[in-house]
Amino acid sequence: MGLHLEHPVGGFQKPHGFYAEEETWYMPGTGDVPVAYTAKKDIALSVIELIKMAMKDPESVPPHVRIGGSNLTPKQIVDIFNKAAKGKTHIKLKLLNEEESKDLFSRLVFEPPKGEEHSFDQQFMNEVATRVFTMSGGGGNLDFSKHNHNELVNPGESKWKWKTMEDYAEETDGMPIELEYMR
Amino acid sequence: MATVALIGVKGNLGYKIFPELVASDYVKKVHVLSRKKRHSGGGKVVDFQVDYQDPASLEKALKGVDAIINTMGTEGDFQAAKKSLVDAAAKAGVKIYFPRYGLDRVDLADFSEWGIDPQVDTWAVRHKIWDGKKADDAYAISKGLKVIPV
Repeated sequence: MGLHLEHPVGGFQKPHGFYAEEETWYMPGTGDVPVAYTAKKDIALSVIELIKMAMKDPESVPPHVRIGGSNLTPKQIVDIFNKAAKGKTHIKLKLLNEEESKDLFSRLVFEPPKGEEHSFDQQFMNEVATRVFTMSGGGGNLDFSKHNHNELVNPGESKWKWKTMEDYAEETDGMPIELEYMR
Repeated sequence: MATVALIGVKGNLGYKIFPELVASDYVKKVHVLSRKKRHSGGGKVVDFQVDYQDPASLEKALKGVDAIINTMGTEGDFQAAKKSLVDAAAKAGVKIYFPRYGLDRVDLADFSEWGIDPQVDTWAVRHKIWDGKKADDAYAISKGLKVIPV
């Protein structure tokens, strides 16, 4: 399903290079590799369809399912948000090389959600976050544009309409602000 | 029609899956499994307070369940909890399992099975976290469950 389209714990937050207060999205690579984002409701509906299929014939469900409600590149996504903002905000896409990516993540401090008393292993978290960040930037692990199972669970959008990036951009007035638990 | 168990009803994904299960004509009953005592709603929703160190409580909650959607959080020893859940599911005769993975003390969806595709072999995915996911899948499959990583 790629990244969650919406917060909480959505795809537009600091571990994915999205710094709302700077109106800047840091992204490794060229900005031309699609990244899958899926609305949580669409995930739920997809799962229900997969249950129906597996109950009828378990072999009809592939061993790994890829769902991508939206499969656009960071460059396309930024354009969609900025169009929806109608001048109020303007997100900049800043492309990073490998060294710059590592530097960005070395400064990322993970904190537990409010009310939870545990602590994170910062070094481990930064390493994993860097890897996820790299995947979203061009590793291919989040590029479901050419190979996904959208048509398997929802052929021709006959069961529901996928929530699009445009829908989400309108909903958030062009600036997706994540509930913060990282600084 | 199917009876579906949901773990993590208050989590960042589970809270959105729950109302769709309730609304679906295909879903006959929803078993909500939680460590805490909850009242998630009447009708076709049945709450079960479970203890992951007590297999009997899990087997009772999974009796008659066709599919488990695991959006478990990362409280306590959730790695052990996942294994207990799979063991109980196999004993209760559950057919379908949507797994949930996570890092110790992290609850980021994209670090979980609900997210990236670890089947695409890149340097970034060559890490023990994703190795662990594959091992967990294999374990559930070995127990006879139809595992559907999404």
